[in-house]
Amino acid sequence: MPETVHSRAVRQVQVHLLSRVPRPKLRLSGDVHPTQATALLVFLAYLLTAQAFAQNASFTLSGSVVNSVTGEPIPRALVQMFAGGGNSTLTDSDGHFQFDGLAAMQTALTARKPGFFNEQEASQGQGMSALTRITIGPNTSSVVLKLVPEGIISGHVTADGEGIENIPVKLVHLRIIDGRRRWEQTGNATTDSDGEFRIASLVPGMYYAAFGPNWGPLAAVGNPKSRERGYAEVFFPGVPDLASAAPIDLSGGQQFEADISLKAEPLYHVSGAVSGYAAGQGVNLSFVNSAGDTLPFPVQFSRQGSEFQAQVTSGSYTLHAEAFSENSSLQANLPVTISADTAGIHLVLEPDVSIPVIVRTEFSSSQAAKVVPQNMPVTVQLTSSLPSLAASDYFSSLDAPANPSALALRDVEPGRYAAQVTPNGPFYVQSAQCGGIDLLRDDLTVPAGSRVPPIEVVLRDDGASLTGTVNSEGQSARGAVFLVPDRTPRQTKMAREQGQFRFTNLAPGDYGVFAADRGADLEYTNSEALSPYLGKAAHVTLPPNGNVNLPPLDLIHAGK
Amino acid sequence: MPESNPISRRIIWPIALALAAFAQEKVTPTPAKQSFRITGTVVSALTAQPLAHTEVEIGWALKSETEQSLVTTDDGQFQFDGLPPGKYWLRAARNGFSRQGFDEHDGYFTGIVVGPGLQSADLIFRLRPDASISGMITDEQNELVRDVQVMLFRSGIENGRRATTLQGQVSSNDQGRYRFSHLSPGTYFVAVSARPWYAQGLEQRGRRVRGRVRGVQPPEGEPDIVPPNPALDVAYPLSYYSGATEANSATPIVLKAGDRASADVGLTAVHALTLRIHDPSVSPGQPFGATLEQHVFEGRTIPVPQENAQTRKGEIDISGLPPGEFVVNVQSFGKDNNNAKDTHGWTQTISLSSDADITAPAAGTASAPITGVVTLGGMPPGRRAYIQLRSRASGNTLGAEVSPKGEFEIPPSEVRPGTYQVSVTNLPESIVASVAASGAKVLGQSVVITGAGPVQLTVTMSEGLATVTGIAMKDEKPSGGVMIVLVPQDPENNTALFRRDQSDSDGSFNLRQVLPGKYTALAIENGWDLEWANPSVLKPYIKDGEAVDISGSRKYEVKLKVQ
Repeated sequence: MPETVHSRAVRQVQVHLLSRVPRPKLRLSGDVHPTQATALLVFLAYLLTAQAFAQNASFTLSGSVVNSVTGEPIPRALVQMFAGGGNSTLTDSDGHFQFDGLAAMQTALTARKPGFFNEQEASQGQGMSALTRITIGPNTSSVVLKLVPEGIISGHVTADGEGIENIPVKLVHLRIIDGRRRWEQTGNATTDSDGEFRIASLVPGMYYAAFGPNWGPLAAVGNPKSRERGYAEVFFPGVPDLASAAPIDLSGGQQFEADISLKAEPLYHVSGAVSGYAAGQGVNLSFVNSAGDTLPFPVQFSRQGSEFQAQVTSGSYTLHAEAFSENSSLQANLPVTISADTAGIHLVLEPDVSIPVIVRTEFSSSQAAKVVPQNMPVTVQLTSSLPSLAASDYFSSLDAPANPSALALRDVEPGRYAAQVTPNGPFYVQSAQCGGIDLLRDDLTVPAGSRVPPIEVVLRDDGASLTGTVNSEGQSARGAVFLVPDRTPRQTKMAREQGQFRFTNLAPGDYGVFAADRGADLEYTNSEALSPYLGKAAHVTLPPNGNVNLPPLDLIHAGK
Repeated sequence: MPESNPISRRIIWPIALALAAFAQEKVTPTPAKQSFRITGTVVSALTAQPLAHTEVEIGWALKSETEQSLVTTDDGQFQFDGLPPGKYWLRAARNGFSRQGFDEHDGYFTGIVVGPGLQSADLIFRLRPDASISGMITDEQNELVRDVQVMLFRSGIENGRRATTLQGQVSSNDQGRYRFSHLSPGTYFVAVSARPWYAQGLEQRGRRVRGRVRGVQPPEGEPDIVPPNPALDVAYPLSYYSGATEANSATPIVLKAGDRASADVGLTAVHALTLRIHDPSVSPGQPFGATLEQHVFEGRTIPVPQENAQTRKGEIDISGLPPGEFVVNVQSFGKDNNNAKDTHGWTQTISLSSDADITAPAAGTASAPITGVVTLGGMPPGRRAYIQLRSRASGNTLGAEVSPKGEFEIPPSEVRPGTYQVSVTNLPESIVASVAASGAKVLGQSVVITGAGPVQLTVTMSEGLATVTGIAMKDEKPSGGVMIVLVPQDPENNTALFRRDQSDSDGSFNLRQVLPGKYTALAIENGWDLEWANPSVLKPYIKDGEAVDISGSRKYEVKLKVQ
């Protein structure tokens, strides 16, 4: 440590000075006492040596960049160092890097190379940082920076043994966000002239692959003027919908071969009419597959715009029609299964489904009732609970300015949803019902073409709070804490804190609580995902207005 | 002849007629009732082997819809029956063989004429298999380079002249590999425009720039400056296969039908250069920017993507540039961005081999607008015509929309010096008949723009268009598949007046939308690789061509001898 070195030097100087001070001969100015003079000289000596040390302070930071899966060094990776005296360099053929001539300081390092992800990108927001913090000084140890190798999905698409070109390939990435499954479209490609495709730069995770649809004027052998043919959409390993598809569990550095064989089949003619729109409104018609993805089948409208025809491959679709004008939007959704030419389909456009949300707040004491009710007492969020690529969630909003206190979920398309009700204020949700369905426990099904009863929410203000800490082997540890209500496990909450955790405005009742060293990738709104942990959970009963402090929770190490 | 009984004469005539008519029916069936067929075999142009599972389509010659389509049998045969007489186009495609017309050249094909006495059976449809070029991109350390732009150039005949033009681009994949498929025979070049992924340049040289390290935020409280390691301030020059950094040293790749050529390109990182642009006429706060292009083949250019331009008052620093020849286009915009007249721009070519400075030329040589009038016969409502000025030398195109009154203006910011062919598009059945200009020299239907001052053009559209039809004869027999060219007077400056066609199976051809003037019509066998708009190439053929004088909007017929 610098201090130690300095004090040693000072002592040396002190000895030196003392031996030098001549006793009787030197006359010091004024009434400076000999010991004071010594002290002065010592101080000056200290300053001089400190200066000298600062100028000569030259440290080295070295280390290597390795492949997090194989442990092998990564040559020619770019290492960047932030902050005063920052720099960048490429690792050598052994994956080794070195920065010289550095002053003592705190800094941060990051590494990158095409074909690799840093740990933050690869963990998809598990709270890992892309930066490695280092303190530079005489004892700085060698740094190891890890990069996660990319995953690759490639394959061969054939029909009758021959590779087919121009088949679209789409990847769907299954992620866990906020304890819920989310399906995102990511990465796509088109097969080349040999029927091959290759999609790289994939973060490790679970993927589904969709092939097609594609169509072209392929005719049957020797038969002129025959029906057009095409390839229907198929999910790996060969099923017609996402729900029954097998996921590809892609790990870092893995190349997965997803080969598939397609069968050319006839294109069917689908025709019908759309009604219920005003003159001058443009009408849009599309075919949506079971995963909520719109397929690009060509649709032709008659000149008046009310009749349509389309050519599609066989499958189960939802025919989705939309009409827009300045102040209204209409839609119609009709599930159809096409396996032959189908005519006479009729879609009736209707105003979008709007689900009103009615909130009642119960106060436990007359005094508390003085709390001014807010315009938006709750936020209701609907998330699709089926594999769905149809983008967004629905959020409740106000029907302002027409009706400033009317809360509703607007333009909800048919489907099955998990509802999440979040109070805005010091309340908890005592119940949330929709026509007899307990939304705290079950999904909400929005059928095509029919009204949905209002969502009735009851809030109460006598919630409880829960605090505690996480321990691992007797020491304070950091982990994710899960609070699972026994009656409504879907409403599990997660907290990730350093030190003490705290949950407030909790509904009175029985809970299981546990802490684990994995958080963001646990599907904690799903009871099945929670069951391995509940056996080791602590149990607590929270009374109304109670404040419970738990004994330290033991961190569960979830092996990956 | 002795006089016969008048009554018997009257009777004989009708009987004679009836007998004759009866005889006619038996010998020649009424054409309207008969239908015809087109049959044949599809073979590979390379191996002459019949091709099974090949999709063949036919349709009426002047329409694009497919009348009938089928797939060939195992021995490559096809047969279309029940065809009314007329002219048909024939097309085929198969895995590995791009869609091609019968005897196709340059987008023209031989039409099959079907009717009594005409041969349309047992055709041999030669399909050319596709060629491809693929390869790997590596750097000077032999490491693969992924996700960079690979460009394909093709040397061919464009508008009758040999030119090397950009055909397509693809990105190298994660293995550093690229592929161009479905190529027709010809001469190609491959070039790569890329930046080293690890390059660190000006943007970090002591300037505050946001989010420097891609995807990573600097630690709290740290300035986001990462001073460069000079060894990493590098760039790749535009690199050609194989190993050249200049277009004229690039190695050509000659492809024949079915070839699968390999062309690896190596990139070598060199020290990056900075170009500083000074324009003292720019006032502070005035929007001001520069774009760069780089010369490729024959004076044509491709845009250079810029990542590192830093702009201060009157100065732009562009860093991270490789050595090479660049065309710098600088533009400053008026305060009111919508007013094109306030824009001021200048262009300079610079050969960059070290850090360099360029300064705006003295005021007064800034580019000026091109304005003018197009005489329109009358536009259908809702339709807009566009005037286009195209330079054959550089491939540059200037253009503007023509107002319903026929007026147009090309703003100074777009004008570059050059010789441009004038055309007007989107007008029904009318093309440019003549061009007059003040402030620029007119050569045929081209104008020479110097950029020295404003130019006014008067463009007169055609009043009537003629059609030239005929038969190409070889050794007294009609000849199909022959290139027909209608050559105008002063061919050098009137490229727009040329007309071409390919003779059909009965030797017939059809040249449409011909403007009044004096022409020579030529029929050249196997002339598809000729620079058909080049007067010196045409010279040996002109003397045996047919002179045609077009003056009105009627049909002209010629008979041509195949050369």
